[in-house]
Amino acid sequence: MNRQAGFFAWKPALLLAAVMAISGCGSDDDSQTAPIDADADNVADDLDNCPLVFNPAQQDSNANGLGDACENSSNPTASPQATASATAEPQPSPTASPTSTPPLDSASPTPSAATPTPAPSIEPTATPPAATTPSPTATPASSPSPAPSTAQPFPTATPNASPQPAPDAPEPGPFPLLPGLDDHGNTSSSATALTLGTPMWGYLETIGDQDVFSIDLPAAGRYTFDIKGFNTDTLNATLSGPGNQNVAMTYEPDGNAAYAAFDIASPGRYSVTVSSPLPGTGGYYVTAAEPLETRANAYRLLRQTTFGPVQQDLQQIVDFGLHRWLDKQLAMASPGDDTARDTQLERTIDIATSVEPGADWFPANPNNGDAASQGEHFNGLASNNTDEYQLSSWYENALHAPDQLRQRVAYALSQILVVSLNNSQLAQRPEALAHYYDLLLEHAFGNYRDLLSAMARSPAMGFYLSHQGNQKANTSRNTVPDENFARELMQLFTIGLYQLNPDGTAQRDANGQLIPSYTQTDVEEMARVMTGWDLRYNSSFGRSDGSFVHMMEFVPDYHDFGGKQILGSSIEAGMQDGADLEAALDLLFLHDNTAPFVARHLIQRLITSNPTPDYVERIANVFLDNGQGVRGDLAAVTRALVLDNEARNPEGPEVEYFGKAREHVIAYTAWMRAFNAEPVNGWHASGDNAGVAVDGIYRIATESALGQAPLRAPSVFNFYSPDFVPADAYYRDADPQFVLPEMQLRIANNVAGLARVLNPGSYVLEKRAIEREYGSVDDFVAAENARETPNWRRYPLLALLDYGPALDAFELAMEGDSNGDFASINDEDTDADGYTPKQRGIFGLITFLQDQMLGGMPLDAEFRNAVVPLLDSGAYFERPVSQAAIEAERVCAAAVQMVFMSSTNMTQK
Amino acid sequence: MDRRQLLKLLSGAGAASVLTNPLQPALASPPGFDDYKALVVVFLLGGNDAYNMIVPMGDESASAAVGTGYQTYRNSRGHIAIEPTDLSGLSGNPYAAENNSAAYQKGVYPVAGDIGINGVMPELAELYANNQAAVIANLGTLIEPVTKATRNTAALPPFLFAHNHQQRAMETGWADHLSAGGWAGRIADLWQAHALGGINNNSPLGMNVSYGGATRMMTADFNSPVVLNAGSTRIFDTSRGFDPDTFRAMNAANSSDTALSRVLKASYRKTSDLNALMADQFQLTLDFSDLSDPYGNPLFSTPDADQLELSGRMSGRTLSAARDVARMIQLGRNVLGLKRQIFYIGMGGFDTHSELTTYHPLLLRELSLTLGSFQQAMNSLGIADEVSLCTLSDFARTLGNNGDGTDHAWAGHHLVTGGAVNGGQRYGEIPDLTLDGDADVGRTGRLIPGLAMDQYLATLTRWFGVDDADMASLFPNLANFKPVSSDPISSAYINGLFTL
Repeated sequence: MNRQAGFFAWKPALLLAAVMAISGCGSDDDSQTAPIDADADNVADDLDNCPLVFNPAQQDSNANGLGDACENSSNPTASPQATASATAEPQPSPTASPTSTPPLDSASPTPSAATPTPAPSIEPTATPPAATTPSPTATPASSPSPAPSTAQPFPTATPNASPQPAPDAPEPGPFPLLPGLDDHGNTSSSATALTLGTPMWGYLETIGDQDVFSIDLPAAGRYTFDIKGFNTDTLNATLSGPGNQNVAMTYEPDGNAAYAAFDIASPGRYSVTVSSPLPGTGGYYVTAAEPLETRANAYRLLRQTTFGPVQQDLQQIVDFGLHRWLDKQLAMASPGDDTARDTQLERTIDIATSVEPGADWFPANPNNGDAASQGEHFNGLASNNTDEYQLSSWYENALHAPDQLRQRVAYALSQILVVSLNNSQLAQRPEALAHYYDLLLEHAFGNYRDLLSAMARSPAMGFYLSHQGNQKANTSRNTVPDENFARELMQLFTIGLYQLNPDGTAQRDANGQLIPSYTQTDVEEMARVMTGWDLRYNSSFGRSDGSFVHMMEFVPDYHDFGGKQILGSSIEAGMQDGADLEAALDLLFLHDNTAPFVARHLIQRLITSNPTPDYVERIANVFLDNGQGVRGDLAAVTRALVLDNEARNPEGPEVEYFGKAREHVIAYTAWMRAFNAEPVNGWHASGDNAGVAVDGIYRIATESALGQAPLRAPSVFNFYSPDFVPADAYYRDADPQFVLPEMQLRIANNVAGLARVLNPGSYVLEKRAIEREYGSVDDFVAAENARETPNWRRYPLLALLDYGPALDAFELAMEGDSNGDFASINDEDTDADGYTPKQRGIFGLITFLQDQMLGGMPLDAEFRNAVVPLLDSGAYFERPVSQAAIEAERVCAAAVQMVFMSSTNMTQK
Repeated sequence: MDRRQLLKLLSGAGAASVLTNPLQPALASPPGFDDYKALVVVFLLGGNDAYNMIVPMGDESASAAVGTGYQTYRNSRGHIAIEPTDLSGLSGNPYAAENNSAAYQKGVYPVAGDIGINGVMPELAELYANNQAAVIANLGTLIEPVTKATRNTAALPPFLFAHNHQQRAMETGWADHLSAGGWAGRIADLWQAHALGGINNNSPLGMNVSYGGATRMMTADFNSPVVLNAGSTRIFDTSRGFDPDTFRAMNAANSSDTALSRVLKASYRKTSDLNALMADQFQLTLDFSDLSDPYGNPLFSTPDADQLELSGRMSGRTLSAARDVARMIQLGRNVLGLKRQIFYIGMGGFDTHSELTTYHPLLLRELSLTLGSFQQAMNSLGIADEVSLCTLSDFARTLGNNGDGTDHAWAGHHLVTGGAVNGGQRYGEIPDLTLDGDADVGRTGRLIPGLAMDQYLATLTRWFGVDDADMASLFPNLANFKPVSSDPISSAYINGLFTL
């Protein structure tokens, strides 16, 4: 988004590195042949898994050969110190001595390996300089020191430096062109050979430089090329195979990285050419590799971190690994920060105004003096269906947002910092929920402290826990402040009821009793803090005619300005503008309980119901310090809890206590994502808006069937208790007891409800069946609209799903083609194994669904033994010859339903 | 699988762990009841403002002890107090007024025991007058008796005033053992509802049925409730080829199951079993639509706004759940021959921190209508004496208020209805209602209970059939409430509530 347009900005720091690394920088001591260590981390470049970034620890958690420092998207190479120091003192071109001849030999696999360059360091044991002090190597060239400055061309990446965007670099001086220096050849005949799985770095030293690499891929199979630039601004990469057949490369949105993954049928030589599309330079890595991850692991990650695995994400992870996917997910801007995307509030408004264009959505509010908008703001009271529009907006995001991890974390947060439509005021103003969810999305990878502040000031929470309009004690009316928010803020959002150890286990007193973390007096004091907050544009304090889509405002007249004593700390009297709210949030944020409390809840929502105390403590520690001294960094917490060994342990599925029951909402979205759900276009609204055709809008009314819907918990205690213990001795006898929170919702009606909404017919609009029956989806929509009173509301899920791939797999296994005639579905002839074509088809179908929808996770033998006979010969699944396609659709629909209802799918391990 | 195979299976690991469970006394056989009893629990979720449901009416200038009468009540409650006006002589809608607050605060039905029943609850007043309802006053969670003087030294239930833990105390009947199984679940364990030969002979309905989610009250080591949504007359939709037997078979236990799969599959099998029962039997039970409620609607209908004469919506879910309980009682008692059933109805919305006078009347109205209709249904079946209903709640609310609502407190009043209860009476004393007075543990009217939840639950479950000998393990703190420690456990019961 902030790409520098047009002119390719020189990156002097990088350039300097390139020059240093290549030249060896004129040591006059030929006897010293220290290897090049461009990042001064005391790991020579040819051994360094990330040679441009200071990473003495050489961490490589995915063991792909490329260090974490290079895989981390927030790569700090362009730190201000580096840029400034190098710019201040441009390095004159050294005169290459014979012994320090740069590795021009393009056949050498790496520059440094080819030439053990002498590099006597000024600081052989270079410790990274503090972030605030200029590098001692900033002025090497100005000193006539014989020692070259190879030690620290990038004195940048102090491990504890806080990640901050580099300020604009000072305009660099004229680029010292170094004719003749080039690390990799420019043509295929001078290409550098790559080794599978070994990253190689290179530099585009001069304008117009291009570097060519080649590799002989040894056998048929799948391979990847991955090129990542550092300070390249943008780069070009072309990949060609035998016969100069080009393989398309995909570019990251910032243009600074490119990748390709492809299958080859036979061995062959492939070459990749790296250049810059603009006259530019910079460094980069290129890696040729085999896929990094198994499908099973990738699938598992996606079940934990998305609203349902889809093939594209799955393949990305298989090809390039968990880390890269995670990095990309964490780097994606929130909808609120990305103008190209709609927030949930914006989308809710779009949908509302599209479906009910005649409603008075923006009534003037005389209390809103905003001249530009004539006092208008969105008001959900205009319709009884505003809650549907808000929910449609939520489902759209869950189903289609590219930042799935952010969406899932926000959803997890919505089950910790609970607000709900089940509230008399919010039921009428659902836009407050959309506004609130946007806050969760915005802060999901931000800081928990900021999130607390936003949550506390949001109109949704203000109404849900009734601190909106809360006022100081009134002795004449004999009233005291409302304690609702004050209590739940402590009990449910931050510190919990009792003192915790750093690993989230309960502290006990000498008598073995839990130790309360606050007292009733703390609640009463906190309630005094939570006074004087009101809706913006309210007619008077505590009313509800103001805006539900602006943050609440502080109204001093109703605030208790006295000093407060909370949790043993004082909040001084007279703090202005609601500053005591922030002071109170600080107390809670800094409380020892908060880190393990939040860590445990997030782990439970995403990964496992019963994290080990060690797991909780590891994540709590990241909450306490993200590695850069920052407390509450939710992106770091998310990364850590997803990558933790306990989450990733390949044995996890067999670990008795590991995993969780899959939440119905998530199982449901996963099903829709797996079958490419899309909105039905052209359906007509009803009632006052009859005849209004609606495009691109879902309507999803399955809350009662699933037993839950987002932002619709029955109380602030969420859909289920985090310590729900099932009636099973394994769980009840553990000490402390093991829990399965999501099982609390697995009641008869909800189990049956999920089964019902997964079954096509009037419940699901399936594309292939509609096309068969109506000719096209458009014709179907037209036919429904042409009814005397079109009733689209009878579809609990107004969305199209495509079972085509499943039908094709069924037919292919049954009769060897996928032409849609299902000609042999009624044949009784058996094959050599004794199976009829339909039976073969069913086997193939289940295998297809297992592979595509369950990521290959095993289904029980009991599953097949029960389901196959039903689909084969159940009365509903046997149709006359003339209805072969209908029979096939029924079989497929039921197979999908059963696979999704299987214990394999409904558990997450 | 025939019965012999099943018995063989049951004699395996499952049965062994039954015997080694410390919470489960070894039991030769469950009690062989030859009668039927059902206990219905209506849980008022969120903490009912009980002091506006049952209004103290004592006259402190005459007979009532100072601080326990209407004068003090009114002073402490301030502008949310209910008027003392007697509405019982009015014809038509006695609580009719210009808005909810006015209807709510308009007056009471003065009844025996120096109390008034809120004017929006005429059905309750009628049950009380007919001796089919009793009020249990100032009841709450306790571990041992507490007074203001001992509040800092006595053992107190942990996490007073916190919803979830105080609910849990009510659910477990064991205020200081928060991870205990629920009391109804533990009775089911004790009577082996999960086993052939146990109570109810291993019926798919078990002993406990919830119309309010998978409540801990009914979950213990071996038993968890059948959970249904109000209004369910069937479970699975089988119109599109879905086959519950296949669903059951595909979820058969498998030797490679982890604990998680085991629990999940068991719940799925249970759903299939329940489906068969509902599809075949439940639908045949009477739905009482031939009886009329006070509005002339079919019994258990949700009255519309015009009939109700209150603004806002009555959810009707509690009414609907009560109808289903009445049908389940027919199914259990008359069709399946069950001996004992406990039902749970969760009624939400009582956490009235704000707009108390707008929303509490709607809740009390639905509660009253539910109690009246349910009793009418039981009377019509001729089994009024076999079925008792009681309320529970997280806690009651502060006597003082926060401007437009009330906050979490402690003791409150509860209701017991049915043919077996000795109704028309108040059990338990009205305490000193003075803010910061002798019964106030704080400054805003968080009242110390005079009766313990344990005493209440023990009295109810004793009626239900639990032996005196099992009470000490079912409610481990119950003995603390015996007037004299050497007295038998029965001395801790609420005396006279039932004729035992």
